[in-house]
Amino acid sequence: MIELQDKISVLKTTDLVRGDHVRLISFGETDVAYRRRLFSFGIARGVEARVVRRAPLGCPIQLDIRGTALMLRATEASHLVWEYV
Amino acid sequence: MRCLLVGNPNAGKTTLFNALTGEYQRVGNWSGVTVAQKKANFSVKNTHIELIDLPGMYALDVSNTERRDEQLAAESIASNQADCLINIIDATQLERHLYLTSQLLELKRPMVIVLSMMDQAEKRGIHIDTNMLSRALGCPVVAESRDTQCDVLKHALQEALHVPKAFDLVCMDDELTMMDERYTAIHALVERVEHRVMEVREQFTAKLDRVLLHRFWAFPLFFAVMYALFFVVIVVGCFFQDQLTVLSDAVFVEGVAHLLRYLGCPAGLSAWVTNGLGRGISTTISFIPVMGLMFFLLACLEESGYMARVAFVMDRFMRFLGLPGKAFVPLIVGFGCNVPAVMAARTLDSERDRRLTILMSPFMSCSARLTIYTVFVAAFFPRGGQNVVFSLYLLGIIMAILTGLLLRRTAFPGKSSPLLLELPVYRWPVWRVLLRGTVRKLRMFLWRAGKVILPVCAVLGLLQSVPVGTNSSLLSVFGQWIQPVFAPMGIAPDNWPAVVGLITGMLAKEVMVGSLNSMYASMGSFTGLAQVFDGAVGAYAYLLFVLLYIPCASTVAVIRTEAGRSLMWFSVLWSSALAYGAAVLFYQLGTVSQHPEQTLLWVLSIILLLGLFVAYMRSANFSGGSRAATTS
Repeated sequence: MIELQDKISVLKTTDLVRGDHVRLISFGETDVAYRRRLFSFGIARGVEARVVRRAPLGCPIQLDIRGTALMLRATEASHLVWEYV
Repeated sequence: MRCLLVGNPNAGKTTLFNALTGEYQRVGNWSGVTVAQKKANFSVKNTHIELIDLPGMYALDVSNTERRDEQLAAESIASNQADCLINIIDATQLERHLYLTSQLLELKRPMVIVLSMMDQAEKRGIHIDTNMLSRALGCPVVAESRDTQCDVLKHALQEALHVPKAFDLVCMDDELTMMDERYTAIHALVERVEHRVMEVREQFTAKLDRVLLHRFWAFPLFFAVMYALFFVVIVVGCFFQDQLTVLSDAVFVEGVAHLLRYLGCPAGLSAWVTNGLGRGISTTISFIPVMGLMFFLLACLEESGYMARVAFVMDRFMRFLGLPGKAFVPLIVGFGCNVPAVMAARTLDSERDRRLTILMSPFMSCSARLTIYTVFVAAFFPRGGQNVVFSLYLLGIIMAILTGLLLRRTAFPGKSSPLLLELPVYRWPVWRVLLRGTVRKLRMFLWRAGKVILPVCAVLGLLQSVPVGTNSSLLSVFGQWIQPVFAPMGIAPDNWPAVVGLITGMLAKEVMVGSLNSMYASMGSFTGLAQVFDGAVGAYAYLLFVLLYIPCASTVAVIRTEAGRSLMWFSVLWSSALAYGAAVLFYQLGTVSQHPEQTLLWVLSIILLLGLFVAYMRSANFSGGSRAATTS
């Protein structure tokens, strides 16, 4: 039962919807160059993010991280693993 | 003493640079306004300080970023020629900006930290204990905001520069170089020095974004903003342009003519001076309202923070071209001038994105081309002129997109680099900065135009006054000699000045109206424009050619330094071919009822040539483009 709940609370970037409040638990298989880029924008393990919106055509996703509005493409960040806060 | 300004993009480095040195470098509210380093000097109490403004950077380890501007900044820091680093931190983004700071501190170099946008931070309920931050980082911390007096800041900086430096940083163990750990240390530090009053009230930016980035309204609003821009520029700008033309003609053409007659000047020399030089100066001056408005409104968009939103809204669409949404920003900058647009491509993350954007940007109709449209619109499209101009701008964008698609399918296959972009907070533009910036750009425009326009008009005037046979001059013989090439796009043999105008336009578009003016003036009156072109169709075909062919010598030169010689030649040939093809196609289709067979022949041959070219592109290899030059 507990295991099942854990599985449900784990999310991929592509699963995020508007209004979600999530925490990054793992970078998964994100490649090193992109991971560094994420780091320099303040995305590290344990960071909390709020999903602000998706762009009109559905693709870039706007996150509020440490008070900064960041946009990234869900498909490119698909390896990131999030959990609900 | 030499100081480097270092900091994250859009932290306010150039704003501080301008405040300290009294320079007016371009500032904006988006990441990557500064793409090359800028130097200026100032002195405080006999200490002479050379300040160097670097492009923004997120981290010191740029080994795996391909961004040219970040690499330049990292190289400057690594070269170790500065006596002191000045690290700018946006107070509203303390935690994130401290990441770069922590890396800079590891260099163990004298350093001062400037907290910028303190007023913004206060407004958002963020209080920062600068003393504690200073103690924790072991280097002086100066708070700065928009209202800070320059002198206070200078003195604070000067004193700070003399403080003995003690470097014992939060995380200095070798074990702790992991970036995760770095953030943990920073987070702990920020917990101590920063106090946030949680605000329930919604931020202005969030509210505005709800409308401007709305799922359905974002696109219509973007186009509305663009259309409003052109509407204001064309309708308001042209009104003032007409007034100014009358005034400057009175001074520089009639006035000079009177003066010369009074001085007893020979008629030939007098005609050369008034029709060549006088008219050239007068035309250039009459551009001031239109250009000024265009520069001002574009700067408003940049300063407010809307530009970065455009990248967000357009990303999905740009990916269709294999480019990131960010590439849209250089393209919009191109509406002002193509030269900074090509330069702005440096902010893109990969060589491929950069080259693609550089090759697309010359098609963005720059404000110098606008001067030509306004003259033709006044003569041929008295009503709905702004729609004609808007259609030209749109066509430019479409051609840029087609070029992008073609190159993506042929020379530059592959995906665009991953996208990560920061949306800045909306800010009211500082009117003083905007106005000064506009005046500076106008002055540069007038200088640049004047520098070319006077010699060109003088040479044209001279060539025109050299008689060949009866009733024709050297220039008209030359013009008529090339004219047949342009006959398919509707330029009649007696309209040779249009051809010569296109040649002078290759130097700079600012020159074109001036040279056309002086050439037509010697043929009769300039209001006779309507008679020499084949109606609205002929005029529009001519404008199409003006829109699409080589923007100007400066753009070609900057493409060469940024993308290499082979891409420069590609750009020159491709844009000229596209211009010719589009103009001929439009004219032939527009006059199809007069000669259906001829039109059919032209349409078929243009399609055939385009097909052959695409086939060639598919097999060509474009790896020859050299790396961008370090400075410009």
